[in-house]
Amino acid sequence: MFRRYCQIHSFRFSISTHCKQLEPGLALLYPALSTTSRKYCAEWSIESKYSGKTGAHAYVCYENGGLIYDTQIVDDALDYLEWRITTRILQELSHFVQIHAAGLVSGGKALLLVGPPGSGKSSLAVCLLRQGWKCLSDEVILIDSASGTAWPFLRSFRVDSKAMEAFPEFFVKQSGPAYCDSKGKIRLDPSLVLRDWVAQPSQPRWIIFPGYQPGHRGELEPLGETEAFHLMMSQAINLAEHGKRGMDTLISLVRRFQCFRLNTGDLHTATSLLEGLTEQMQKSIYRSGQTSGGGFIGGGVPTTVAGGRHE
Amino acid sequence: MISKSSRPMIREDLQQSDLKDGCVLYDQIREKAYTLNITASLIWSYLDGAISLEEIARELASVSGCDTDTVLRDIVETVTFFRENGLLEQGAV
Amino acid sequence: MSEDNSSPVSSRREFLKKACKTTGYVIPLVMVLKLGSANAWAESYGRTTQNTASGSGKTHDGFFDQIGRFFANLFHS
Repeated sequence: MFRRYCQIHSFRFSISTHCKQLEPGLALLYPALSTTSRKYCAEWSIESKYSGKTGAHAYVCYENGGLIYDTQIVDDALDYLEWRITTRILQELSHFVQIHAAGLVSGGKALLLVGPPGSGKSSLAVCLLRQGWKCLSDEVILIDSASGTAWPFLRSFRVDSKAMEAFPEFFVKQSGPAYCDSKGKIRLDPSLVLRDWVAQPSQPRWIIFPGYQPGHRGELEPLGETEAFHLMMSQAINLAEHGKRGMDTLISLVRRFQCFRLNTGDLHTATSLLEGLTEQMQKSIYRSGQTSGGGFIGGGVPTTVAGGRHE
Repeated sequence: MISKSSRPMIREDLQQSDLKDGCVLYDQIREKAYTLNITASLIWSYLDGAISLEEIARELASVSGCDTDTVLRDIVETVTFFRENGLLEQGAV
Repeated sequence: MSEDNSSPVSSRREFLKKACKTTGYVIPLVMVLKLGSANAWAESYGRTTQNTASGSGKTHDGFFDQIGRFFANLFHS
């Protein structure tokens, strides 16, 4: 039997299966939330069932022992289970303002990649991870309204199968079949290849809105506060819970941090443009003689950065 | 009907946050947020029930350097949007 | 229409003046969003009220009727 105990903040849950065939797929769900503590307040399991009467085979999902879903497709069963667990986690953590975004950390400062599905968040996140950045999430960032700190929400990455070709090392390390979600994206556990990839809660410094544009040479275009706010808000998950206070949290983010639209058709150029932001920060810190960040932000609107280098 | 002689007034209960290049309005009743760019937010700030859209158009034309007719047409369109979305005091138009 | 220099009207006026000088006339633009309307996020999982399950799956506990206000806004913007 496979069972994993998980914890995120104070919410503890377990996922399990008795089916050997389902173990590799289940092992790809929330590997970074794994804990040794056996306490939990919610339990999800998935089993393979065969009906002798009809001869039909199904994958069946349970929540706290109760049947919640059945399907004949293994990817669909795992996808449903992940959706169900993620939804519950977000409900448990509703005191955070939740943004549909990836988050990476370098030098103690977070870069948020905010955008709709297909904008390249996860692929970019994997690229930055390979460059030594640490990860908050590839999907949802939790913002503490009081401090503005970005907290991690770690799950397996889901990367477009075409983009996966850029990361062959993950294919080698990932044993068993490649489990896909309902959109055909491949689940990927970064811990199979990278050690120490999980970031601590961090203050954001850059907010990036990636937009995949085939053939574009690559450009970081500075965004005004109003447009950045609108784009952030369109990807906010639970603002209805927070009302004006949640909006003020987003307003504070776009006022305090640099916001860019990332136009690119090429992952490597995008990565070098984003890496350039940290170099710019380090130079700024060096110039101002500071030992921590703070001197760079608020110094006016930066010029557009294009083609993988700063001008 | 919004016209150049209309003197609309904004709803007092809307919460407003200023941004460098625009503003955000929050309608708590309908749980909706409106982001206004710099021009729309300037129009918004003139809607006090005393100034007509024609007067606003003249002011905006002098600020933007655009002709008054074009600006007036845009103002009428913007204020009509405000009205249709319930952002103006009723009866003040 | 004289305004105090520190008022929002005055600062918006000045900002617009500069913007128009740089880029030409800026057309007024208003965008509206329902709070919590991250439909895209729900759809990234292939899950909405209209499409409770991808593939041939069936839900058994009325999950989408139960999740309440927190996520209801995800699906009704």
